[in-house]
Amino acid sequence: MLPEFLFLVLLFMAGGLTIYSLGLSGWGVGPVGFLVGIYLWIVFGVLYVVLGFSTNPKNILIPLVVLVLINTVHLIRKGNGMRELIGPLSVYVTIIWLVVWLTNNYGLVKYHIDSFRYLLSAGLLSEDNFTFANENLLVKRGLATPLLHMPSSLYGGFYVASITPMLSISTVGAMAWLLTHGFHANEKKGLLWSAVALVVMLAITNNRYVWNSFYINGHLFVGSALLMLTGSIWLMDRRNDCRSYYAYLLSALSVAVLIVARPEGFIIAMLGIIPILALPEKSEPLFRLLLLVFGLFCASWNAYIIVELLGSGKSVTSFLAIAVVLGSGGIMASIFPIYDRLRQNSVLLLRLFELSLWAFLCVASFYQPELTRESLSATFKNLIGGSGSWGSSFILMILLTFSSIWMARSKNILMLRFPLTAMVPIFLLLAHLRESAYRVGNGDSLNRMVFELFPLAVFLIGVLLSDILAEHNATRNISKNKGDSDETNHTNSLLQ
Amino acid sequence: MIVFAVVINVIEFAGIDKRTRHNYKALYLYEDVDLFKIAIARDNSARRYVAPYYLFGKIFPHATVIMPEKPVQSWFEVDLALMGLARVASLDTIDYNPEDLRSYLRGNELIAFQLGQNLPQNEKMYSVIKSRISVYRADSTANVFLLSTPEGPPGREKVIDFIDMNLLNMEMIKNYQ
Repeated sequence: MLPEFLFLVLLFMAGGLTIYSLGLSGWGVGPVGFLVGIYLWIVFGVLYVVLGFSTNPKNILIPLVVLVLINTVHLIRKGNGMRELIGPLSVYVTIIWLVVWLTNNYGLVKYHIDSFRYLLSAGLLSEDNFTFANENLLVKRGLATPLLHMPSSLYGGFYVASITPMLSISTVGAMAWLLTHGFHANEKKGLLWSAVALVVMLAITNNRYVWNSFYINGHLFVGSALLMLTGSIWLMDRRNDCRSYYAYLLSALSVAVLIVARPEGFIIAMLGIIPILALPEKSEPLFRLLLLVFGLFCASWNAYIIVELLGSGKSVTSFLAIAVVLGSGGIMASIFPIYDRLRQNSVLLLRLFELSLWAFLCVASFYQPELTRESLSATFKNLIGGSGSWGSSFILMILLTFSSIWMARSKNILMLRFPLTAMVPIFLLLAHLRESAYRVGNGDSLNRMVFELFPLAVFLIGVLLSDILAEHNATRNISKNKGDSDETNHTNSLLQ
Repeated sequence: MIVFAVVINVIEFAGIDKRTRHNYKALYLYEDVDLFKIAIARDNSARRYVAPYYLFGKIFPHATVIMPEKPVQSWFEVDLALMGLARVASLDTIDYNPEDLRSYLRGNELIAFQLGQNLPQNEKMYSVIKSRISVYRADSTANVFLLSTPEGPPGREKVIDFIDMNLLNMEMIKNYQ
């Protein structure tokens, strides 16, 4: 238990101190810092793999330790930083201890046979044998989840029991922080916290959210990273604060880890970046940074896979080649000044992009109608009919999400809406790409994959609730001010 | 409507879990903590695809396994599972026919590993694991094993044997090479 606890604390300290040095303060250092720590671990791990360094976990720990030391020295030199951190750090370290204790003493872990494939990959990484990984491990399992679990080999284990529950707690915590940080200063705190509590309850009472909090797989990780990517950009735009350096880091790290998390990861990252073009405030530096990160990670990771597969005499699918091309395109786009031209027609571009996805799906369905029909039927039975253990929650989430989109006032809601709606045709297209329809049952891949949109959907609903409350509060203030003014005039007229 | 959704979530939570298989239940407490023991005790897929390597690695830690040069068709891939799940110290290859290996045995056959140790007592579990893996260990083992597939390519269900080098007539193997 102690080595596991120390590993998680190291992750947390690396992420928390880094994000604090870049300007994020208050209780958000806890959940957001933990997520940043995880992302940093994964980014270093990816670099070690792609550059051919030894992937023994002791080696990958070195840059984390260096980061903790650099940040500590920097904050001490600044003179005023560390005292403010003691509170959030102690609380979160206590939470980490409780979760480590709970998961190492109670059998709460959840799995599917695919979980063992992730752990197989983790085992290869920890034994410095990742060059032997086959196509299934490289393409379908990626690096994120195996990297999260491979440090367990340091203490004779096969997986880090507490990392998924901690990821879940930090995701909900970061969601709450984003909502509270995005509220305007004149909104009543009591009302604010009630709204945030309600949104958090919407997430943690969901049966599938709780299951994914203990399930060894990459779906919660992808959902969390998508939320962090879009949420941090939304926050920057909402506060009109281009100096939120922590938000730059958070969004950039989210893009990087999404690409190596799952095969659809680079698509999801793209959907999180493109809507920047249509934000109310200009965000060219952010757009270029994220395109560059996307390009570097997408091109290098997929090129690595291609080289490994060709080296072992295997053939390469066009999916990988497309990913490399898109990555290269991302690098080029980050260099050339295309932002203004794209922004001028951003709304049209985004609409055309979504329409083209549906068009592709129609074409694919024309050639393989049975596959689409079977996939839709199975998906309906899973998500609405109860076979996928969603109960009524999925249909309720759909109603809430679409109500939020329809009723939202702020233009930057597009940042949150676009990935949710654009992924629908993409999910169905994936069935055609793999030439196999989705199936009825908990184990079906789409039934599990659709969860990747859940955290963002809950956040979107929270944003609408905050907008409604802000509007209601503003209306009350105007009425109150008007009432006070009328009373003053009446009093004055009486006095006269 | 958000409050309504939360209330529905709470009301339906227990009912959803009741209708769901154990590894898909949101809140279900297993008697064991270790994922491998949980899955091997309860699922045939874990018994067939995970148990052979996990158990082999537990009972013969840091073993050396020798495999044939021609790939062995199985699910999971044998070489990857030996590296990632059994965590063998070394994996070597020589050119031999894994289907004929039993004819090279000197005669001292013994199923070595203890199935019952630290696993819940479960007849079905034992029968599935026994049909999938056998380990023949010499009285004095060098912790070096040759992989044998007496029933042909193991695929998803056939047996994988690990035979102690000290039980084998190496001259016969060298002649075969």
